[in-house]
Amino acid sequence: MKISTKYFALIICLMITFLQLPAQGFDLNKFSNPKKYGWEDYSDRNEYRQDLIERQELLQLYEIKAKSISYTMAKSAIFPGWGHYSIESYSKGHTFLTGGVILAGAGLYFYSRSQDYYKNYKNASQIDVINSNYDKAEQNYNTSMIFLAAYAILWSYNLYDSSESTEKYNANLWEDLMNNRFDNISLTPGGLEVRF
Amino acid sequence: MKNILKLIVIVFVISMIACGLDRSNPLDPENGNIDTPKLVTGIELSCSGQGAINKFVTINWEPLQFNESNGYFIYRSQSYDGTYDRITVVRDNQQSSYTDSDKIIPGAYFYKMSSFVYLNPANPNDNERLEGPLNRPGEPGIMVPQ
Repeated sequence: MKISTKYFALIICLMITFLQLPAQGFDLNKFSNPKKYGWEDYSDRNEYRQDLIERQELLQLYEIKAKSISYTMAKSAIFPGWGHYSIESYSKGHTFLTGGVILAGAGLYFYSRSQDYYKNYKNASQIDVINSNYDKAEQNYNTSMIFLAAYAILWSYNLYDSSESTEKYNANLWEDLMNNRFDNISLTPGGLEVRF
Repeated sequence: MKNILKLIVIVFVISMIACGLDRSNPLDPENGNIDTPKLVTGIELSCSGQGAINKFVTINWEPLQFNESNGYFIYRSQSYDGTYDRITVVRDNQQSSYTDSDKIIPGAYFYKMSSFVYLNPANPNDNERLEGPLNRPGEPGIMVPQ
């Protein structure tokens, strides 16, 4: 009977000890102390909260304005430079589009000429006509291949650059949003613009 | 970036080497199916004399061997650099002359000749014959008198 009383007392002590541990770990003062986050007082805390809300709003704006890399690359794959236009990189867009049109156009032009000469070659039965048409067909074909290969290189670089430029655009977009968040007044070509 | 550029250059070089036009014309000697016909040599022109009623121009040449030619084409024009029309096909490769009396009026006449070979000489087909290089007579042309 004595033993059981001792055990009972021990169990009670242990329970009290273990129940006290979490209460000791949680410091209400420390929890509610704003200085822990570098806030001197509640106005600092409010400023921080306001800043957080603004950042969340900017993040929403960023998500609307930011461009997906796969989206710009898909556009650039269809027409070189199209992806750059969508990220407002107009000079690069002009360069890729103009270069692409010139190279692809020249390549197709020479390929078409080579096919005309090749058709004449296949229908020819005189040795001079055969040789002449084959030589011209081959010459135009090689020229077309040079232009089309140059187009392929330009197209590939355009894809690569659209990916890189989109990353830069998104990075700059966030910086611009952060820098301009208090700039409600801006100078535009149309005059002063005030945003509310 | 450098790896991508290297890959592009390699693909470009391979495509330039691999691509090309086939010599798919069966009459192309480069295929090895047919030999180029020989140039017709020794071409000489003579014509009817002054006052002849039936005017003509006779063309003579040196006949080629059977393995060098299966026949000849003869072309005529009334100007040196003008369009030459084919006036006849000589199917006998041993023939060495031809007399042109078709619509011959007094004036200048210019001729060219070539030989041809059949793709399959054992089974001659006019649609499968290769014409050799064109040759002119030693003289630029001939003047048929009144």
